[in-house]
Amino acid sequence: MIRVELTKQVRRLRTYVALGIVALVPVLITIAFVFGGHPHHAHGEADFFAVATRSGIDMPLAALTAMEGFLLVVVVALFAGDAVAGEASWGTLRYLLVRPVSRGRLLAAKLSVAALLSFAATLVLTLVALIAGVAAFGWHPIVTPAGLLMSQGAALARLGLSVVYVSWCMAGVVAFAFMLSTMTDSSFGAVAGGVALGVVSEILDAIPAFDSVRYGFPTHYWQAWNALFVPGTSLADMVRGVLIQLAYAGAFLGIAWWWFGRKDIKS
Amino acid sequence: MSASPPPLSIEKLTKRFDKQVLAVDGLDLVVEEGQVLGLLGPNGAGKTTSLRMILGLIRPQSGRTLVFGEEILPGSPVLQKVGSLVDNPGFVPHLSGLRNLQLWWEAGGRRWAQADLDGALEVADLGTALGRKYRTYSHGMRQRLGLAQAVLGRPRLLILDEPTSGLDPQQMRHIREAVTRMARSGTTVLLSSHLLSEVEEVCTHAAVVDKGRLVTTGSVSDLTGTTRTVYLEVSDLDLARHALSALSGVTAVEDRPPGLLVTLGGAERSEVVAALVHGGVGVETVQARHRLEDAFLELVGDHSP
Repeated sequence: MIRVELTKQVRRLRTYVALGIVALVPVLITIAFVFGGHPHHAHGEADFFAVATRSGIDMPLAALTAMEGFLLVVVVALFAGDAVAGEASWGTLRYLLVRPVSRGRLLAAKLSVAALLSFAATLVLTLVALIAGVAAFGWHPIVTPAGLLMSQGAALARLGLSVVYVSWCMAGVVAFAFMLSTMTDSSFGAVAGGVALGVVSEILDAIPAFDSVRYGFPTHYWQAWNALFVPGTSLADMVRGVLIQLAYAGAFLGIAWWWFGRKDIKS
Repeated sequence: MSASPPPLSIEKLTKRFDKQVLAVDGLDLVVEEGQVLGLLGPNGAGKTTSLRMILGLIRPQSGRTLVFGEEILPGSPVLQKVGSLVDNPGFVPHLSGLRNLQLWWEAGGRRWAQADLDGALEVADLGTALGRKYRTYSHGMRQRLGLAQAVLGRPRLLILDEPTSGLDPQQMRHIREAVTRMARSGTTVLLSSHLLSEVEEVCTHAAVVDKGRLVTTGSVSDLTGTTRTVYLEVSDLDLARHALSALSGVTAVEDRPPGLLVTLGGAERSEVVAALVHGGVGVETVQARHRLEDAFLELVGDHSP
């Protein structure tokens, strides 16, 4: 079942366009740094952009920082929001459901493929940024935003963990878009809903009035992976980030399974 | 020794939408082995909702559907024995017709080699177009691919909802012949159609539903009556009456201006025409009467404004 779903998606132009855009942006950022000179500290704070030209391995960290907040959200919402609603709009959903396959199994296959493609998007972004960064700025020990030097091996290991963490941070958005996808025949609505969750959460997270509740927002711990590059810093926020996503994903997917299991298929 | 359960048994099936619209109201229906049963009813009678409940797509409020004795629930294993074409066909537009068939079949957890592709391709009759992307197909090609999908794996029960909808006469003929062939090879067929001539031609049995309820069911010949009639327009009515009165196998001749309605009690239409010509009567029109249409209108009434 997963193989069937994967075949449908990998033979689709949309998949390549989405992954292509994800790959293109870090290349454009690298070109901008090569021709635009050294970056400055944004808002007076050091971040991975500020050190992006010090080593090629800094570039994927800068790219993850830049794209985690919006572009990656759009792409994963696209993969998840279209998963079921896309079938409904093609008129193929009812034909999948007249097969001797449970609705839960169908959802599991579709969610697996959406999650796999979402992880692939983060991986493509990172690998392309790494290749472009190394080609432009060389293979050196990285300089962290705090100004510390870190060996290539240690930096790559932490980069790998960052990719896994950032991918997991998308779980809430993926689950929400997927849930909407089981409720509507409009892919656009489900995708837009997923993007809206990420964007609205980030906006609310930036408003001081929400200080007491922001720790529960799905995007609050998205940048917690930065702690991996500050030796001696507690990784407690990353653990909280993992658990928050687990809670959101569990809730949204629970609703999706419950809803779709009882849904009358009229499309 | 107990008899094997019928291919399809519907018991008190009821579906209400939005707590107000009663789409299907306690529907009971049995389709026996080898039958080709036409499901007839005016628009909004609950035919498509019934078919969707039979396939597990819509949950009934009450009642149940048994297919070969097993209750249908979403994803029931017995759905492996059922082929269907409900509403329009649906396929992935960026994949070829053949790839679509293969992926759909494999989604059911069975190997492609078990799909009896040749039989399905005979139905589709798409030739090399099967390798083209589905989005390039015409309406008729899509419908034929949908029917091919429905017959993949030679299902024992075939459920078709308006299978010839929107097709030209040649394509309609092709699909009707394919359904007839399937039935002859032992497949039980439930066919919903608003084309009464199609039901009369293809089906052995018919069920009439109206307002979500079963009005009547039986063999097509029972519903239409055992007698057959033919409407004639001729050059000389008196001479025609005289010629027909001498022909055995004609049981009644009634005036239906500007022609005659002849009830056949064994004679074929060709014999009637031959007798008239032999009697010096010019035959201008010979029209078989669609008795099923008469029976249908009598059962559900004429809903036209």
